[in-house]
Amino acid sequence: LERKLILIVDDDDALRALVSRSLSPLYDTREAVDGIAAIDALAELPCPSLIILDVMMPRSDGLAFAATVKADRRFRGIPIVFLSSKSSSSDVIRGINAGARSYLSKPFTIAQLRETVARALPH
Amino acid sequence: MFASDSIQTKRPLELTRSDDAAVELAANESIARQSVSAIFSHWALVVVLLGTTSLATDHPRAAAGLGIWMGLVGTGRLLVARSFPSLYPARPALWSRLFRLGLVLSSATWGIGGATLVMIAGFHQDSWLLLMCLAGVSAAGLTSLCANRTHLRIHMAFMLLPMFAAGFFLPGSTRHVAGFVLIVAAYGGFLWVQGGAAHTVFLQSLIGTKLLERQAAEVDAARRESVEASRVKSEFLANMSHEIRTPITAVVGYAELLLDPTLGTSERVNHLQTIRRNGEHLLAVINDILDVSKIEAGKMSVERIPTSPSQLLVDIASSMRVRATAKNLGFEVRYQGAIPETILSDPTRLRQIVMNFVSNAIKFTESGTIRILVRCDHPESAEPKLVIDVTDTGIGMTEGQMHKLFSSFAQADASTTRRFGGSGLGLLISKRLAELLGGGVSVESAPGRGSVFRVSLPTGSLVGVTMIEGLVEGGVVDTPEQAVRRVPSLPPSCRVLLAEDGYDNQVLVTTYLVKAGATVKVVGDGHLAVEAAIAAQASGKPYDVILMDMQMPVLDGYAATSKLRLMKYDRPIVALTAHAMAGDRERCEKAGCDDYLTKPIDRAKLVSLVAQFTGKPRFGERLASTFEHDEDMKEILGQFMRDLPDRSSAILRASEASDLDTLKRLAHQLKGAAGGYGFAGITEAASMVERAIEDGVEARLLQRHVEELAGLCRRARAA
Repeated sequence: LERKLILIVDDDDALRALVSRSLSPLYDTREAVDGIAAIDALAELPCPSLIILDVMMPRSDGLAFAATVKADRRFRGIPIVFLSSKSSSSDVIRGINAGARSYLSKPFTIAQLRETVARALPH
Repeated sequence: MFASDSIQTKRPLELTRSDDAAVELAANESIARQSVSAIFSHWALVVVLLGTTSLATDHPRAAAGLGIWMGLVGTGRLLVARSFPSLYPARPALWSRLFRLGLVLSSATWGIGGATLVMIAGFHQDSWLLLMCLAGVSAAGLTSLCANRTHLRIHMAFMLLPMFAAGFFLPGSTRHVAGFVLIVAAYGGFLWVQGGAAHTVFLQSLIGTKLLERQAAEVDAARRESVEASRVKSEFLANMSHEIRTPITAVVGYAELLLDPTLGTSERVNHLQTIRRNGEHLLAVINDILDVSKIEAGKMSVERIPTSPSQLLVDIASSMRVRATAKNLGFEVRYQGAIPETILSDPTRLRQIVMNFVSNAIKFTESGTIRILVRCDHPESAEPKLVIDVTDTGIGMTEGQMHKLFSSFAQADASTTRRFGGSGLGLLISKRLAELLGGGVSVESAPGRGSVFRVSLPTGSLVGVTMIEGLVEGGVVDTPEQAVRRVPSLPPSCRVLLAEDGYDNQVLVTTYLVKAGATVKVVGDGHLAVEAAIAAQASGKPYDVILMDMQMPVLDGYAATSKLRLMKYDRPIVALTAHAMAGDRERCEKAGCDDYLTKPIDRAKLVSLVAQFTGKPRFGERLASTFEHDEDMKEILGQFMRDLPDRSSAILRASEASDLDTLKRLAHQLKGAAGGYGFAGITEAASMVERAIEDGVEARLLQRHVEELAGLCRRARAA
């Protein structure tokens, strides 16, 4: 069975490495530092099965990147999981409206992260 | 804490100067507009009069003249009225004068013409018609001219006074005359009073409207401001929440990763460093937030104590130069003109402001130099100022970004702080602190051209304060007193054995160590050194460190060290040598030294090295192979252990020579071998070295990995 590929987009090096390390026993990972870099990372083959996205990032933030993904027919079907420190219900609603499958607020445990990813991945 | 000063206190309504001007404009505009319809009604009345009275038939030429005159005057007035939008804003006085001229001509024609006709016609039907017209025209002025009392009065006077005067000359009985005059006078008086009242009413309604407009604008502005303040506040809270939660997530997450029992040593160290770095970052963010809250709540107090600007700059330079150098940036402190020896200010806060400027400059500059320029403005005046400019050659800023920098809680770009670290509150804090100290901060910048941040503070009176000319940074930094202050201290329990034959070096090293707090025993040759060391160990009070000169009479340092190690002496020995050649270090290590200092002895290096070894066993914990008790492995494991010091020193040599290819090859070989002999830690450390070379990390970091690897190799020895 082929391992699924997850694209991790976060501007904080430590957090990106943390998410990547936490998921690497189960999945392949690819990393991008912001929304702009993520567009290039998305276009590379193979296509990721899931995107983990920080909301607050320089240049292009997570919401803008999510909008780009959802507007592109090739990538529309890829589920997005938002990581964010904004955790009010209106922020969650904004994230879900932007096309997020799930919304994980910081700080999170590795178990929560893995569970969220497992649930969000297409079967 | 947010924009509390924007909430307006309720003020009684009153007209301001600008309101007065607005009222006058509106009044004149009303007059211009209304005079157009007045002129047309005048023309209509002239036509009616000329058509219905006997004037046209009796005096055709006078009638024609009157008609043409009224046509001309009316046209002139019409032009003046129409020119209002273009002429009035530019030359209000000229327009008013023109308008008044037209009004006087028109009113006088009516009044004098009417009076003349009445005198000619006497008490005839035409005269009554004329009188009714005059009454109507003058009454119409009440509405069309009520905006200006003077216009109104001129109008009425020119309309009715000639008729009033003509009454006296009317042919007829005294009764008729008196009745006529009285009626005209009464009517005039009535209109005069009514005119005043109409003017008052008009003005009041106009002012009322203006006040309401202004109030509405104020309410709207206040509403906008409060909406903006609340938006900025929630953005600020969101940013701070992000700034706090991100490092916490890293701390929690990496702590969780550390629980994995299969992690190698270097990975553990890396994770712990990540946790520490994020913890420190979090602390800095929280300190900034607390500072901002304190300042905004008015709880931040500042001192006014004698403060030495040059001393302050020395402190700042000593901590910031390292960071600039680490990024390969130049760092300069310059003084322009004479600088006061002390100023009255708050050293902590001033330091905070300048440190903030400098650390920003370092953050946003990739290449070039950070310059600090200090000068004193107007030292002779009543209000001298100390000005400190921090100039960088960094990415610079646009006008818009600069405006945002100090003006709100929103940072120039919330995202740049993420990229460069920090809460983004530093400049806001600097600005408020400078204001608390009675000064201010400013910035000049252009994108791509770098920035200049300036803080300017009152120095307090400089009467009796020494002004220092020609200060240079280096001269101040390196005074011996300050050099002493930077040396670390040693615990009083620290005991050092110095084996050294040269008298000068004996005195020097002893002085350095005794000043740092240690007890020192001096011996003059290797043989005495061995005796003293063994005796101390036997008595249960071994020396913390032996400083061993390598060239000594009787028994030299190499031989003495080897002898001690043979006698199972296991405390730290540091070699002192005048040789600074490659291979020397190796030779010392082979003899059994733990570390190595070259002459001339650097005071800080000496003390910190001794401090490092104080109270510690020689090599740290022994690193044992997992196959130590495996009989089958015994022989090949022994061979590996014997080769290990050579491998380790070859690695140190390659690292010292910056021969990265060799270093990588040796690290790679060691990585492959060590694991097989049951030294997973060495494999891990070697792979860190290898990866660090592949990733092209900076030399300092690579050096640390190499040292960690060498340390592990040293600890790996048989039981």
